[in-house]
Parts: sequence; C-alpha cells; structure tokens
Amino acid sequence: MSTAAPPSRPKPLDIRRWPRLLLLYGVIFPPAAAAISVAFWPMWRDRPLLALGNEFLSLALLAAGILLLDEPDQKDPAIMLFGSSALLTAGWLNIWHAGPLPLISVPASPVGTVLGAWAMFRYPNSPQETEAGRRFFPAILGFVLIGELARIVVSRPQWSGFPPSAWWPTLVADRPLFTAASLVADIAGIVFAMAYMLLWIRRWKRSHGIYRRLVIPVAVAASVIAGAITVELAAMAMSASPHLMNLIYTIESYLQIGIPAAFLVSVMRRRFARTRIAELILHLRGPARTSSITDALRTVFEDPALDVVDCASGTDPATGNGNPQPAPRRNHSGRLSLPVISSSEEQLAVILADPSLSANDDLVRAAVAASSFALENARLEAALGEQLQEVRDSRLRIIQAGIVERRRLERDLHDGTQQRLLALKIMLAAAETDTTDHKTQARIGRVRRELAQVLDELRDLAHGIHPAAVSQVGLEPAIKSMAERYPVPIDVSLPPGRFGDAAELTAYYLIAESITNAIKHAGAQRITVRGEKSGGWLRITVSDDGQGGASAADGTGIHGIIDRVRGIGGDAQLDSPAGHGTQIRAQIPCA
Amino acid sequence: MRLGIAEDSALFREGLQMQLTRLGLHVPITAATGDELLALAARRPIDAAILDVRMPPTFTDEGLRTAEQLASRHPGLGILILSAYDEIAYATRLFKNGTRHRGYLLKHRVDNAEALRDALERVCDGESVIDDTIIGRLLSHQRHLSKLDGLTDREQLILRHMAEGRSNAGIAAKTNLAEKTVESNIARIFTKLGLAGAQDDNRRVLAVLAWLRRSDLNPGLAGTHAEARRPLRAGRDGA
Repeated sequence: MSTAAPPSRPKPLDIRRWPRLLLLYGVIFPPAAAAISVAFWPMWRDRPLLALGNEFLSLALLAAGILLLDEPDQKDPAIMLFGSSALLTAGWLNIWHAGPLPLISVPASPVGTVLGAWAMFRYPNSPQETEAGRRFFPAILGFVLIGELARIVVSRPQWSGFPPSAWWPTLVADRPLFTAASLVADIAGIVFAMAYMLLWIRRWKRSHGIYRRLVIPVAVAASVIAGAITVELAAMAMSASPHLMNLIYTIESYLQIGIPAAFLVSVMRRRFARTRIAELILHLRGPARTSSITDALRTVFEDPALDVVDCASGTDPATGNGNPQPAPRRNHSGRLSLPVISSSEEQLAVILADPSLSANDDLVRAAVAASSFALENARLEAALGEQLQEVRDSRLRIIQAGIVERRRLERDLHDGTQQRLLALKIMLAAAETDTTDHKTQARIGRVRRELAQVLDELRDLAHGIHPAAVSQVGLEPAIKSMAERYPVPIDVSLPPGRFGDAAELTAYYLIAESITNAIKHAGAQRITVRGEKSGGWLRITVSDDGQGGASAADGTGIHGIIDRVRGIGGDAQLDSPAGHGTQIRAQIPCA
Repeated sequence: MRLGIAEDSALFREGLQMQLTRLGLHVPITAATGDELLALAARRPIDAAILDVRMPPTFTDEGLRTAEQLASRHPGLGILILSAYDEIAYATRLFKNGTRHRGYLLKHRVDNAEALRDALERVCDGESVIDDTIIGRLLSHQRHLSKLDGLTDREQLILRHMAEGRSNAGIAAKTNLAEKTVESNIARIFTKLGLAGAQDDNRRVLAVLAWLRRSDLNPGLAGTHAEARRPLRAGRDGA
C-alpha cells in the first residue's frame, strides 16, 4: 500500500475556479466538438438516433474530462476520459467505409470503452483503488488489443460488415477461426464486464463516509454501463441481427450519458462538501476547541472515527514555543494523518482520518486550512486566557503581599519607633519640670514641640502605610471616624461586620481617595458613602455634589484605586459628567 | 492612688512609670501584657489600670479585651486606655459595655502631667474620659457643618466638657461656674440640639458623642447651616 501524500501545508482555497473552468471549455471544447461532429457526419443521414446518442456521448465525455481537469488531482481520470471520448468516436469511423478507417474502428471501440471504465474506476484518484486497477485494466486492454488483432488477421473486412476495399491486414482468412476468436473475445468481454462490476461492489463495500458519497454516482453509472456492455457482448456472441445490434448500440449510447452525468454529480457533491467544511469550521459557535473541530470534521467527512490530536501538550503555553513531535504520516491503525500547521510553521495538531480521504485532496486541504485557522485561534485564545489568569493571580498575590508588608511596616513604626519617641517625650517633660534653669527649660520645651510634630508626622505616615483601624475596628467605624476629620458633611451608610482584609482595605482606600478628590478637586459640599453586601460582593458607591468632570485615565489617585479594586478581582466605574457631581461605584469581592 | 500598667514597650512603660511616680502615684503593678496585669491584679489591689491597646500576642486589641475582663472582675476599678490612635472608633468600642470608670487617652498626651492625673482621677471617680483631642476634632467637624452656630461660646464649652465625659460637678469646676448654672446650660443645649432626656452623666456622654458624630445637617438649627462653609482646616486641631 503506497503512502498517500497529503499536503504538507494547506493551500489557500481557490474561490476563483469558474473563470478557469470556462477558459478550459473555451479552449478545448470547440475544436474537439467540431472534430467529433465531423466524424459522426455520415451517420446523421441513415441512423440519426444512433448518431445523436453517440455524438452526445463523446461530447459529454469530453465535457466531463474538462470538468475533472479543473478538479484538483484528477488529471489522470480526465485524460482517460479524453482518450475514451476520442476512441469511442474513432470506433464509429467505419461508417466512412474508406481507407484505414474501418480497420482503426475495430479496436478503438472496445479500447475506448475499457479506458472509460478505467477512468471511472480511477476517480477520484484514490491510491489503493488506483493500485488495484493498475493490474486489472492494463490486462484487459492487452487482452482486448490482442483479441481484436487476432480477429482482424484471420478475417476479411466484409466478415465484419466492411467493404472489401477497406485496408485489412489479413494473414489467414479462416472463417471458423474468426468465429471462434470473436466468440472468445465476446465471452472474455462479458467476464471482464462482470469482473468490473465485482470490483465496484468490493469498492462500494470498502468505502464509507464522504468518500462513498462521492463515489455513489460514478459507481451506479459504471454498474449500469457494465450491465449494458454484458448484454451487447452476449447479443454479439449469439450473432444477433444488425437491426437488434443497432437498437442495443443506441440504447447503450444513451445509457452511457450517465457517465458524464455521474461525474458532474460527484464533482458538485465534492464542491459542496468543500464549502461545508469551510463553513462548518469557520462558523463554529463559541470558542473553538479541539473537540468542537473534531466534531465538525467528523460531520463533514462522515467519519466517526476521525480524530484530532492536539500537539499543544508539551508546548510551553506562555511562549507558544515548543518542540511538538513530528507526527507520523500514518499511525498504527493505518489511519491517514494530516499535520495541521499554523501560520508560524508550528504544528498545531494532527488529523487522523480515514485513508480514503487522501483521494479527496482538495477536501483535505480545505479541512486542514480551516482547522489550522480554528485551532490556531483556539490555541491563541487559550494561551491568552492562561496568561491573563496568570497575570491576574500574580497581581492579586502582589497586592496581598503588599498588604502584609504594609501592615508589618506600620506595626514596626507604631510599636517600635513611635513608642520610643513617646517615651522620650515623657522623659523630656520630666526633665523640663526638673530643671530650674530657664534657658534649659526653653530648650527642652522647643525639643518637646518638635518631637510632638515628629510624632504627628510619624502617625500620619503610619496611617498612610496601613490604616490599622480598618483591621482593628472594621470598615464602617473606620470610615465614620475618617469622615469626621473633614469639614463637609459625609453621610456614611455601610454594612457593619467584617469582610476580610483585602476587601476592607481596598474599600477604605477607595472611599478615602474618593472623599479626598471630592473635597480637594471637585469642591463638593456633600458626600454620600453607601455600601451593601450581597452575595460575595461588597458594593460601594461614593457620590458627591461637586463640579464633576473627573477622569480616571489621567493618572489621578482614583486611577490607582480602580486598578487596586480590579487587582483583587473586583471592578470600579467612575461617572463624572461635568457639572453634575461625581459617582464612583465599586464591586469588591469579599469574605 | 495605686496603679497598674500594662504596656509592652519597655521604654514607654518606664517613662510612664516615672511620670506617674512624679505625680505622687503609687505603681505596684507593671506588666508587659494584659494577661500578666490581670494575674497580678488578682493578688495586689489597685485603684486604676492603664492599658496599652496593642500588646502581645496579636498586637491588635488586647488592651480593649483586658479592659472588659478587668471591668467584670473588679467593678469600680478605673480603666484608662492609652492609645496612639486618635480614633473615636476605639473609644466607642471601649464604651460599648458601659461608660463608668472608663477612659480613652491618647499616648502623646501622657507627658502632660495634669491631663494624665485628671484622667486617672476621673476614671477612679466613676466618670468617663475621652481625650479632648478627639472631642476637639468632632466639634470642629460639627462647626464646619454649621451645626453649632446656635450655641453660645459658653454652651459650646460645656458641650465639649460633656463630650469628654465630665460630670456636672467636673464641668462646674472646669468652667468656674456654679453647678446650677451648668445644669441650666446643659438643659438649654439639649433643647437646642434636639437631644432628649439622658441627663445622667454616663448615658449623657454617649448621647452627646452620637450627636457629635452625626454627619447630617441638624434641622433643629434650621437657617444656620446655609451660611458659607468655613475654609478647610486640618483634621487634627487638638484645641
């Protein structure tokens, strides 16, 4: 079994096929059709029905050949159809009753028929079937040629109904031998026709999925023709009357029109399938996953065993760089493996499909192209999602680490430095009272005042680093206590209780910053702080009656606060139309 | 007066002890934690305890918890919380289970010998104490909201002393007014502010604090709050 050569890289779908097809018809069809018409000219007078049938057959085979020529990888069947068309036409050249034409017509007709049969069997150029036919058809061709040659050299032209003047290479004119050879050839023909039918049945049994769907029309046409030829040869073997033979030939020629018709149907089906593949995969609902692509491909190829093996495993999702193992062309179960390559030459996945698919290269290419598009999207999406989650997680960790660190710093300042300075302040006070020297008293008094300043600054600094009251008494009391430091009415209505450090501190910073902005920048006269806990969310709204027009984008403090809220998985919105006050709403995940 | 101290900072404890000794007060108990003080107080009688808020082991609110235990084990014992946080929220928490014999003083005021002695004497006498820095800030906030405009200067002063937790006698002593005068002033203040009843000292401090913490504009002083806002001032003006 030869290895199929699936495309290493998907080629872009050629959506401009029709102009090329028309060009092919324009170039090939008129001269060929003219030649065929000329060849059949004499027949139109005495046997118009037969002429019509046969000329139409030859033209239709020609047309089918051109159609196949435009299909990817169908060049061989196309050329065989051209040959069949020409030879079947040549098979009727005896009607000219002149020169070598009758002689040529004798082998041309059966050879043309065999070539046509081969073309049908070859379609759609499946490797195994091509292999099977490679032994069968040349054998028939050889046998037919030798048989016809044998019949010719032991006969005279008139025995075959030709004028005696026709060119004829008679070696031994022997009537019984000629009759015997003819009989052998006819019986062999019947055997071959039946073997051909058997080949089709075997192929039918083996085929499945989309391949069967594409092969059905051709298989039906081939079986019908094979049956008709069996009848024709049987009639000839039984020496039927010329009248009956003409009838059989006529019927046969009309039946043979089924051949190009079958090709047309098959090609249409294939084009439809190609469109379906692209559509199914490009219009996958929701984010494309390997599984959804697999389902889509299974549907279009009607291959339930089809599988898509993701090469992403073992690939670093952060960088997208990795060394995916080069996929084997075929795995152990004899499946066809089609590598899916991304635009950056990276192998995304391997499609494990039915081997018969290799006969439909264009479909495979469409599938691989569409899959690579969808898979690349899916992978980028997944990688992006992962990275985003990672960034979110790390941001949350940084914020939480910041809280811990700030708390430690505040504690160090409060329990260490501040206590020592407070102790010094007491000792200075004692020293101030103890001394009677006024100068010294004045100096100590100055140092005490300076120390008081330092303590104030230190307390502000510590509070700025970490508002300990939030952790110790809770959000609501801490905010109320803060609100009392401002010269404008601040209406605070927050839920009591505890919500976890991160939520409480984030809410505190948000509210503090909003209040500071409202008073300092917006000239607010009234501020309202509202909050409620619903579900796992603390919802905070701070609104003021200031001048509005605030923006969170210009690097203001509120920008940093909104970042902080988002950093712990919440969200905040700033609504500040100029002249209509400012409202900041935040949703903070809480314990 | 016999005192117990619970304070984890050795240097501050030393300074505080020195300050108390200089005031002529006896300090039989010095402890680094609340539990230590509780254990010692069970054996040696004291009149008042001075507690730091943040102490080992968790450095959060040990002082406030120790205060509750002391209050239940030794009724009548004066309890003075010393805190570096000028947050009314801590004081409110201290007063949650009673206001008598409880006080909240800021640490940076300890070098003021008179303030310290005054606070200790008041908690021993059964009064409440709230550091006047905090009360000053609350009053300032209310003044900014123009809610004190209907009060005379004397009434404002008396309101302040009420908020600090002083008794009528204490206010009278502080203002050099007759106790009767103080009482009539207080009645007027209550009427003006729309405060009902709660005339006794201990419930009174809570009512006044609650009023001072109200951020809404008091309709009882209608017509006064529409005045131009005063300029923004620093929050912590201790006056």
